[in-house]
Amino acid sequence: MTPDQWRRVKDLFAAALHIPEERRPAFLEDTCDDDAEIRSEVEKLLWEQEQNSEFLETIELHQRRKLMRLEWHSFAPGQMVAGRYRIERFIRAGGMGEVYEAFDTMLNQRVALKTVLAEMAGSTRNLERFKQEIALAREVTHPNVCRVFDVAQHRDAESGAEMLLLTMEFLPGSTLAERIKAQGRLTPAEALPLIRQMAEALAAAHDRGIVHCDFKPGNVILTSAGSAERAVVTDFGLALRVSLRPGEQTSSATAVGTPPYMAPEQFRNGGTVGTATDIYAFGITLYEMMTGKRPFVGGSVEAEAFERLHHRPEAPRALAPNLPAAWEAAILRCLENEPEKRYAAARDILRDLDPPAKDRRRWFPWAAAAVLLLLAAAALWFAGPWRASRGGAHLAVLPLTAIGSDPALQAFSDGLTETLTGRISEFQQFEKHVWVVPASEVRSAKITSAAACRRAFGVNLVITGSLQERGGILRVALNLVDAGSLRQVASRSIELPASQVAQLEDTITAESAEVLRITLSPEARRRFQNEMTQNPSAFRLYEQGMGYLRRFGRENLDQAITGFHGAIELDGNYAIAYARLGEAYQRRYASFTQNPADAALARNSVTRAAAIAPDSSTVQLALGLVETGSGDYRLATESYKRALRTDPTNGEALVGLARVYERLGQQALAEAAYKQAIAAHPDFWLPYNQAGVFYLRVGQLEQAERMFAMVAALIPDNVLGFENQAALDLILARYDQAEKALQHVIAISPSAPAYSNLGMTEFQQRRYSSAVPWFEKAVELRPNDDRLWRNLGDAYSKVSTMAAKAADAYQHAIALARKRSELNPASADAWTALALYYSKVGDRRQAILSIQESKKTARSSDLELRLAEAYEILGDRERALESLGAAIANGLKAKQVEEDQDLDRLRQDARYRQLQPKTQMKPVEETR
Amino acid sequence: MGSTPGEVTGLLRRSAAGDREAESRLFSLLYDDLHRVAVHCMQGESADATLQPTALVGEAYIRLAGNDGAGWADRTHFLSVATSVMRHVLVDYARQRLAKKRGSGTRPAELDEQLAAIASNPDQILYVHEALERLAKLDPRQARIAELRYFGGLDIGETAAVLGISPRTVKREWTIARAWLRGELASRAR
Repeated sequence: MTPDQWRRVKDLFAAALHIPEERRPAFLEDTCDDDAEIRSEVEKLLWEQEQNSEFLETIELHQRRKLMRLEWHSFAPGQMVAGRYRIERFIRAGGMGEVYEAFDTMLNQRVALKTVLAEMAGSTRNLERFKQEIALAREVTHPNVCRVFDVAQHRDAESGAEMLLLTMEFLPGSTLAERIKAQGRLTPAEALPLIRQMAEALAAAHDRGIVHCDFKPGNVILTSAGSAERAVVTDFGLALRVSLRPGEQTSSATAVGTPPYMAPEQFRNGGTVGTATDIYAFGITLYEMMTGKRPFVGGSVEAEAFERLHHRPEAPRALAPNLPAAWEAAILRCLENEPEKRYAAARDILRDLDPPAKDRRRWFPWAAAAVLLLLAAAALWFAGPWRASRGGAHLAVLPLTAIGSDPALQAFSDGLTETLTGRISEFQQFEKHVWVVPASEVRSAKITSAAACRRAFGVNLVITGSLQERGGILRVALNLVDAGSLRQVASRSIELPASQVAQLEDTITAESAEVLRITLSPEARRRFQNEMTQNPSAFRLYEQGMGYLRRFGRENLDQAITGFHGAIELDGNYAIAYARLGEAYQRRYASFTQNPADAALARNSVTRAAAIAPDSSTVQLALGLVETGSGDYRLATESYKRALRTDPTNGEALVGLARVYERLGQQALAEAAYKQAIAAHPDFWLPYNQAGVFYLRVGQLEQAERMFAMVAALIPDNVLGFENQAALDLILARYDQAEKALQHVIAISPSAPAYSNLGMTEFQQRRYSSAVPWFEKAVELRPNDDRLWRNLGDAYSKVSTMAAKAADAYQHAIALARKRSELNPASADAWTALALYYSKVGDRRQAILSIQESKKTARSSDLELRLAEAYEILGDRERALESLGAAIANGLKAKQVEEDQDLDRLRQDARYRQLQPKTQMKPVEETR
Repeated sequence: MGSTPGEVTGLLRRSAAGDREAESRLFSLLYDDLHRVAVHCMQGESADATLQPTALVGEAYIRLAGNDGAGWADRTHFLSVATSVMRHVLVDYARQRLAKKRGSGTRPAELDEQLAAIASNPDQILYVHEALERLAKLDPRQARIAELRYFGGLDIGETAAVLGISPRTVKREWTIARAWLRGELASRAR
């Protein structure tokens, strides 16, 4: 055949395709003249075309395409895209295109910006459809679904090529795929919270008829920084949309997705894609999470597809023997070949993995057991003993898992976690290279894995464990895990008859000391034992109380109080139960009731505790806490000092002491105490953070920044650094930076201080109506904080349509501050706050009275500033200047005055200039 | 064979302007690097069977040309050259595989596993390769379209951009080439 003949063949073939089949012979008869070669070639091509029009359009081709897909970085940092987004950095190239971190200059927020593959951009018709699909996906608003913001178009200046862009929620963190790759398989305890979130995400989308189509670990982002490990599913429904290229309908849906996660029906011709497809992909993901491997590994995509069509996957428990049988069954059910045999809904999987409480056996036969003999504590060592080399043991204790779902056992287990953490923190007195992350930090960070502990807290060792009660025997398993290698270093299994549960505390204290190679002095052991009880029921109630004490909310606090009371009734000399009871009352008083009766009960309880066990540091700390709360600062310093006598490096005591000194206006002593806490454990981030907040409060910003830098260096993945840095940025009027940091904080762990500070960034820039919603949010989350009400009042008063609401907000602030001043008449903070609020509502008399009260106690720059504000509002310029002068003498800086909107007029006064404040800054509220 | 940063961009421009020497230098650079990258990927993550955005060629480009200064024209030309490279890699690999099957070959290259996922059918690769050589004599442009589509995995739009023709033409030519290839392969396979 010649090139000319071939050209003719092609023309005829193309033409014939548009002619009904029955008329083609006639057509060819007419057009081929008598060139039989051409005619037979065209007929042959037509026949081949009929046989398989999709010939060569295989998945393999799709893979080759991906392999060729160039990792172009379409944009450079700093470039403005689509007239609105400023590119910050390239993040990664994904299946769809590139992902950048960008800043939306219109809405002032950080976004993830994705480029969509070129073929989409060509036709406007497609663009419209794409936008519709995105609009659909946007309907899913769920914390575990990555929010899609917008579709934008960008024209390449050089080539004129159009590019489609998608903006979505920016999520710092790594993907589940990266996690599995780094860590290998996850334990059920680590996996369950993630699985739950992923299932919720899928369910939320499925409820609205949206199918993911490309679910896989690479599309799950774990934002592990800060207080919660949030699993967020990205790219919902995008795979399907993107695959629809011009002229093609859903047929190419077979090539959608990532082959190893694709369901059998996606490989079959005419297979439909639906929610069951996602369930299958979810199953593969679970398999991979729990075993570290995917099922069905073949040499090629086709081989793998064949495998899954014709074989069952290897049982997960063959790879991960510790996986519960119920989990294996659940995973395999997701992987059924027939879609209808799989789970109908993503949430159903959770029911099998983590059955609701009522399905399980009730647990409570604590004291009922008749077994009396003490079972030997079995000890097993793994991988050689751990040595206290490498700078000491930096520990975190993860919440012990209660096996079973009895709430009482769960509370007991939480309490035991507290107790164990507390005991280990007391080990510092014997081995100064030991520190342990306070249980409260682990809890509020909601961390559940050793790897996350290392990232969040910079520890090198993690204690994990579980608690189980069966047939009258209590079994506690404790594991010491190397946070770096995630290898188990040591493991202890303690078995006790339930009747001897009171010995558990002593036993786990001794066991953990032994595992950590710490020798407890006999005197210390005696001291510990003095605080404890021999009564098993009292111990049980005490530990349950501890479990409740550490949870949030009034109800839990009430439960805790009931538990401690019960323990005391059974053992009238149970010192730490008295101490904790006092702590519980103190917290109920401070956070909820503000009822003086609670304060009195707190005082009685801790006094009683101190009478029984005066040399217990736990007791002295509780005493100090209660005394601080009621304003007995002198007594509080004594209590903390007593705690330090037995345990000279006790961080809690040092920080407590520092706080009291600060309230007494003795800044130098406070600073010294913080420095001592840092010196005791220079690689522990917590004292740095506390010292940083202190420096922030007293206006030593350079020092504060240095402290926060240390925190960030020691625990780079913890949200704490961002929060405090934001407060600092706010003081230094670096509003953009503050806002960025706060948005990040709120995305991970929303809190009243974060919202309030975000409101401040708007307020300080005089964008009052934008500040209002943030302040409202803050008040909603923490309605008992007068400072938040004051901020809200300030914002309301500046917006004409809302000004009427300002008075109400200030009244709230007054009522709350009033309570504070009644409960703690020595609180200069409460009095100056009252003075300011009264001046804001025009109650001159009360304002002056409050000012007089405040002058009976200590001064500091921010209190003096508040007085200056109050005087200025009251029209007493003379005294306002006087207070301002005192504030400046106490370290207040120029920036702080310049940015203070209550002092706008005062700054015009010639006398103000003579005060000559020093360098840069502005007022702060404590962020934590 | 090493390359200096920026060299590739220069080579691309020269070869796009018709410099044959630049083109062959570019080709060998890419060929070497493609292998290196493939082996590197493999050692890194046990041939991560997802084959996700491994983007061998893309990485090769980044490694060779650096990350900046790649304009649109450079990209399309690079796709063109890279497709030729990919064709050679795949054909070499397919030959090795077949030789091994017959028991006469040496051990396949290390990137076996990586390539296996995109070349699970070595017979087909060789048949298509040979058929396209024949087609090139009849209709070089159509053969090139088929090459870009089949070996490069480029889509209609990219193929059109590389060759500077309309997507409609690419589609039409590809439909015909596909039907023709099917016939050619069917006769060979029997």
